[in-house]
Formats: sequence, structure tokens, C-alpha cells
Amino acid sequence: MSKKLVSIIRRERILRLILLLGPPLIFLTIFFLLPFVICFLYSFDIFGTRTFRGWFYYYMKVFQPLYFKIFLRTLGIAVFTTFACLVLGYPVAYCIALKTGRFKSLLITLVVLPYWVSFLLRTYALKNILARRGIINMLLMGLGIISEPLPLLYNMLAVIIGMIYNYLPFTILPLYASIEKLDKKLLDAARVLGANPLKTFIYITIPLTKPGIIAATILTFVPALGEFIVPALLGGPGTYFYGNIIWVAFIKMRNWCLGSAISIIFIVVTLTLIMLYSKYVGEEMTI
Amino acid sequence: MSIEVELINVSKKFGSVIAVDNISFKVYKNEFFSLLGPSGCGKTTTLRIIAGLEEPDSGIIKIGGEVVNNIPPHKRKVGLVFQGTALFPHLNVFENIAFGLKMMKLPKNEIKRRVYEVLELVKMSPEKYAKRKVNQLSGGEQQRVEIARALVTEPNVLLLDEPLGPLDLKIRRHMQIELKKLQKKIGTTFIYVTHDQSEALTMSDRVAVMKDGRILQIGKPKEIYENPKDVFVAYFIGEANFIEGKCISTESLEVKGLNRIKVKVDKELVGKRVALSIRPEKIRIARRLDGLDNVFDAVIEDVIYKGFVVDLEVRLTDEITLKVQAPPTEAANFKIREKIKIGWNCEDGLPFVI
Amino acid sequence: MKVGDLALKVYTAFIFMFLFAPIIVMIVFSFNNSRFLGAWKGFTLKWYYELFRDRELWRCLYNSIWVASLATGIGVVFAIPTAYVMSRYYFKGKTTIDSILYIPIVIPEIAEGLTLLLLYVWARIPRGGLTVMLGHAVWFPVIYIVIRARITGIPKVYEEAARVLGANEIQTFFRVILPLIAPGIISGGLLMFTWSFDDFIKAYFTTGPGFMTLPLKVWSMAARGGVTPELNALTTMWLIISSSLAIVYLKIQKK
Repeated sequence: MSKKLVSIIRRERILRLILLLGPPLIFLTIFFLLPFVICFLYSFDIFGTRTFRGWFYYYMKVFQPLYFKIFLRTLGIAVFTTFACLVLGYPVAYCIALKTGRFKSLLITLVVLPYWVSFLLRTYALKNILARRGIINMLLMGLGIISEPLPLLYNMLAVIIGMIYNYLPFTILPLYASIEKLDKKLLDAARVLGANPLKTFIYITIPLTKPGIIAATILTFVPALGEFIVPALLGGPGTYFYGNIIWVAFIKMRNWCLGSAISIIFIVVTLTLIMLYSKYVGEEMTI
Repeated sequence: MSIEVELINVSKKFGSVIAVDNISFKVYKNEFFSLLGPSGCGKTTTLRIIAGLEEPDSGIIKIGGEVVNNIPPHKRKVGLVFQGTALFPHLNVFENIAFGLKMMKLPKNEIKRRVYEVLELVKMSPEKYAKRKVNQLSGGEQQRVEIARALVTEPNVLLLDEPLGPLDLKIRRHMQIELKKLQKKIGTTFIYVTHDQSEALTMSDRVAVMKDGRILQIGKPKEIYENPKDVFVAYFIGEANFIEGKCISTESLEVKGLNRIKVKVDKELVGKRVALSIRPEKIRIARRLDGLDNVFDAVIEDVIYKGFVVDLEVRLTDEITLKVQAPPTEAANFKIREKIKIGWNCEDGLPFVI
Repeated sequence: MKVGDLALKVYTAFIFMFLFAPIIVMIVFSFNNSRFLGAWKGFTLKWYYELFRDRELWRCLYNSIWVASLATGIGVVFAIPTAYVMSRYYFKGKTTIDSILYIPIVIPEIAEGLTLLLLYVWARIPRGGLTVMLGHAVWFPVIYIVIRARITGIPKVYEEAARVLGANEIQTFFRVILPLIAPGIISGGLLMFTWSFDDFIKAYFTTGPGFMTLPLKVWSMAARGGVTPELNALTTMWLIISSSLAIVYLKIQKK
């Protein structure tokens, strides 16, 4: 008797589980997982709307010099942006965490506030500053420093400024979190042991905020790789990123297979980086 | 004796809170000096001011005869052992201890020699401990590494901020003896901060009792214990009974509920309200008592047998109970509710104006 | 070290100015009585007046609102049972499902957008407002995470007390758990609504001809020309709506 009861309860439980978890999971499967599978298949030209050209045809196209160059450019700028944001952002995180006393919550909220606002909005706002008749040029011409407006838009310089502008809050927040958690006693101990402020910073502060630095790096680098808005608004075809190529392939060329091949590579790279980071975090936790 | 550390009229406020209130004292070379007081009395702040981690609002700090007010902490040659552990978690034991030497830019072999030497000094074998990670050490071991780290740079003054706080009682007692021996051996001046008065009395050459940012009394442990100059010092150090009353003459105190108490006071106190402080061990207790200046009837309220001594609580009047300490030979047989006699001599009653 | 501290604070102030300046300039120039930047020609509301008269714009705003509302509504409906099951039940494969639920949040939007577009192309689903909204609804794990944290924080004894007092599971859920997680539902929902309202990339890939949300409208105006006062005014309005949502969210968080 009890065995039957147990199996009835079990069945009821499983039923409940399916009822509750089912719809959300099915929805995710259809609108999230399935698309990736389809993309994967498209990249191998399975649904080819044109004549079949071979399994790896589109992947081979991706590694052509044209696209490869763009890939390298994206990588380079992402690396540079991450590095620049770390260097520019660390002092800010340090200052807010250690030097502003009771204002630190307010200040860090203010830094993060721009993050709430859409990239599109912020990148557009930047155009006001960089345009030929924008603030910077008007100011410099008004002061007589230059006579012709500087070309601050639609080139690599604008893209880099735009990247740093958008990603700086992404970097500052995890750095701040890590610095804030430092045991201030350790800094005092280093000072009494003879380390001047610079040496304290190099030997104690930086090593102990390593987790924050790594988090900031990942949180900046991975999204930067997929950036699309900044080069589109502030740059031109000469500054296209990987994300823009995807856009061109899908929206402009409607070449689903090519676009898919490009995308799969991007997705694989991104997921690998995210997984490596989770493993690192997992290891750090156990130490 | 030459002076190692001197504070002159040092004050420090945090916002509206006065942490250190115009204190001055001298610490002599090779001395084991303690700053003793309850939490919030300013002793840690004082220590941090000496180390240079806080800047005083006013006053002069001298170390080794030189004024150090404008010298930053990394240039003052002091050692500091923190309350709670401040060992660097990302460095192992050797690297922690070597840190100060690295800042002094000593050559590698010299660093190794001194680190090993100081590890032996704190009784930790280098082979076993040098490469250990800090979080693998026990509380007592961490404390010893901290002391080693502070001492290896051979400072003239070692500042210690309640270093034995988080340790178990037995280990504390053991470390107290070790620290005292260490200090005598190497001769460094120690300035030791604690709230534990028995610790301060056990280890120190001299003690400064602090309260609310002020120094109430400085002296050798015996002086502080037997001749407290302030009612708080009498209360804080050791155990004390307090009987309040009005001083009617230089020889007598009027106390509610009792006959006059015989006292020996200066004539300035006549007419004032006074708290008379008597140590529990100075009160005699017996079924029959004479030969003492003050003898009173009392009822025993509590008997605590501690093996080497008996603590008793006796009631004198509705408002006055006293703590009495007596050797077991005299007091072991006393029972609760027993009527008894207690007494003390005039000179054992210390008066404080209240 | 006073000099060093001062230098640090000055530098930080500069970075703050750098972060906020473009937005402030944009807002200021939306009131500028001139087509061109660079010179202030007086305060005016005429650009805003133009906005308010633009019917198409109102339609875009309406689209943004209904897409965000519907996506959030679906999101809440999905998130609550998911959070409940994941925090109170144990079963095989739970960790896998947990990981899957996290992915939509960490993966770059462009990957989500393009794969969804492929789905619609392959299944020959005509694209428009509905496809955008469904794409946004995929982001419900954000609400799930908030609610799950809240449920985990509810001591099991509350439920057990209710059961002992005679309530079955459904009643326990509606009378005990739901009221206690209500703040979580609101803040999670707010997060998702804001994200959907502000979203550009995913909407761009999944939209169809003729359907525009506010961000899409901004993009079409921005990609066409340079800086215009109308666009400044539009983006300022967008900023106000977005910031208000953020402030409401922060206020709720404080509770």
C-alpha cells in the first residue's frame, strides 16, 4: 500500500513540477535555445536558400583577409578600451572607496547612473560634444587655439572616445566593490612597516584587489567585443567592428548563412571567455 | 633613564567626540609601559597617534628625543602589532615578516638571516613555518608572526594594541609571560594597550590608567593598586568596595545605617561627600573580631569557594553589601545567612571625593 | 599625503564631469533657440512642441510602452513559478536548468537578437511588434533572480505554520509567499520594464517594417543625420522617462 502511495505522490509531484516549470522552460527553449540551434545550422548552410556550396563554405569566407582584419581591429580596440578603462577607472574607484567618507555610496551611485541609460542615448549625446560645431570645437575656436574645426567624429578617435565613455562605469563598479572590501588595517600595517603610499599601493592594494581587476576586465572586454552602436554612430565603414559586420550580413545583405557563420564564431568566443572567468572565480573562492 | 617616547599636551577629536584630551606622559627606554582603560577611553587612538596613523589636533610627539609630528608613519621607526590580525593574506609567513626589511631595501641574504632569527625568537621553527600561508595558522601562531614582523625591523619602540584579545584564556596567560620575557630579552621599549587590568598589572613596569581621553594616574603596578588617586582607578583596578558617606571630621565618616566609620583623611575632605574604597582582601572576617579600628556586624549572603581563596558577599545594612576575600583556612566553614563580624583598619580605607 | 589626496579628488571630479558632460550638453541644447550647436541663442521650447505634435512619435512611445508592459507581464508570470520551484524543490538536472536561466542575461544582446531573427526567418514568421515583444520576454530570468533571492530569504517555518493551520499548497502560496515577495516582483518587474523600454539592439534585429519603438526612432533619426535639436529634445525626453524608472527602482530598493 505504501509503495503505491509513494508513487502516487511522486507522480503528483512530477506533474506539479512540469506544470510550474514547463511553460517558462518551453518558452525559453523556443525563443532562446532554438534560435541558437538554427543559427548553428544556418552556418553550415543546412537550410541554404541558394545552391549548396559546402559545409564550411561560409566559415572559410569568415577567415578571409577582409573579415579577419575587422576581427583583429575589434579585438585590438576591445583590448585597448579595457586597458584604458582600467587605468582611468582605478583611481576613481580608489578615491571613492577610500577618500570620500560618508559620501561614497552617493558617489558610486552617481557613477553607475549613466549605466542605467541606454548606450544609444549616451553615444548620441557624445556627438553633441564631438561634432564639427560641437562644444569642443566651438570652445577651441572661440579661444583662438584653432581656426578650423577638428574632425572629431566619424573616425577611429571618435570610436575610441565613445568606447571609453560608455564602458568606464562598467569598469569602475567592480573595482570599487573590491577596493571597498579591503581591510584598512592591512594598509596601516604596510605604512608602519615602512612602505610609503606608492609602495603600499603596489605591494598591497593592487594584489589584494586582483579579483576586482579581473572582474572589471571581463565585464568590459566581453561586451566590448560585441559592440555595435558606438562604431555605427561615431565611426564609419572604415571603423566597423565585428558586431557591425554581423549587422551588415543580416540586415543589409540578408545573407543568413554568412551572418550565421560570423555569429557562431562570435558566440563561441564569448561563451568561452565567460566560462573561463567562472572557472577562475570558482577557484578563487576555494582558495 | 633616558626617555624613548614622550607626548606633550596631545589632543584629538573625531567630529564632536573628544578621543584624546590633552594628555602628556613619558615612556622610558627599555620599559614595558601599558595604557590601560575601558573601551572608548582613547588608548588605541593614542597608540595610533604615536605610530603616525592619526594626526593629533594639537600637541607634540617625540620619539627618541626628536619631534616626529611631521614625519609620516613609514619613516617613524616604530613597530605596531594590531588588534585582530593584520597579516597580509596574499603573502606567506616569510614574505609577511620580510616586508618591512624589503621596504628598507636590505639584500636578500640579510633579509633571510633576520627573518629566520626572529622566527626563532618567537619560538616558531623557520623550516616549518616560513612557507606557510597565513590563513593556515592558528590564532596564537598568527599573533606570534605579527610580533615577529613588527620586531624584525629592530624598531626602538614596539606598540601593541590588545594583541592577545582574540586568544583563548590559557594561551593568553602563556603569551603574557612569553611577551614579558621577550621584552626583557631584547630590551625594546614596549607600549602596550589593553582593557584587562590584571594583564596590565602582570606585565608592566609602569601603567597609565585612562578614561574618557584623559590619563588618571601613572605609576608602577603596586602603586596603582595600593594608592589609587582617583575613584575610577580604585574601581577599575582589582576589586574594590565603595561605601558612600559624609565626612564629619578627619577621623570619622557618617554613613546611613551604620555607626560612624573611623577613617584617616586630610582636612580638605571634611564636610564633603566621600566614597570610601576598601579592597576585599583587606577586610577581616570572623565570628569574633577585635583589635581593628572598624568592626561591624554583618550577615553572609554568598560564599564562593575558589580553592585558593574564598569570595564572600556580606550585608552590612539594607543598602550596603561588601565583597570580602579570605583564605580558606579562615572562611571555609562559613555558611549563608550566618551572622558574622567584619572589620578593617583606617589606613585600608581610601577616601575619594564624589 | 594631502597633496596626493587632493590630486586624486580633482582627477575623480574630472572623470565625473567627463561622464556627465555630454548628457548635460545634450539637455541644454534641446532648449537652444538655434538649429546649430556652438552658440546659445536663447531659451525655447519649440523643439519639444514639435515633438508633442508628432503623431508618429507618440505611436513609437505607445509601442515602447506596450511592448515593455506585455513582456514584463509575461516575464512575471513565468518568473514566479520558476523561482518558487527552483528555491523549494530538489530534482535532477536542477543545476543545469539554473545555468540555462542565467545565460540570457550574460550573453551579448547582439547574439540574442540575430539568432532570434534567424528563427523568425526560418519559421517564416512575419516580424513586427509581437516578435519584438516575445524577444524581450526572454529576459524574464532577471525577475526570476530577484524573486528567487526573496523566496530563499523567507524562513520555511512560515509555510509550515500555514500548512499546519490547514492551508493547502496553493493557498499557502497565495497567502503567505506572494505577499512577502511582492516587493521583489515590483523591483524585478521594474528592472525588466526599463531594460525593454531602453532596448535598441534586440528590437532592431527583431522588428518588422513599420514598427518602431522609441529607441528605434531615435536610431533612425541619429543614423540619418548628425546632431539636431529635435533629436536632442527627443533623447532628453527618453532620458527623463528612463531616469524616473531608475529612481523609482532605487527608492523601492531602499525599503
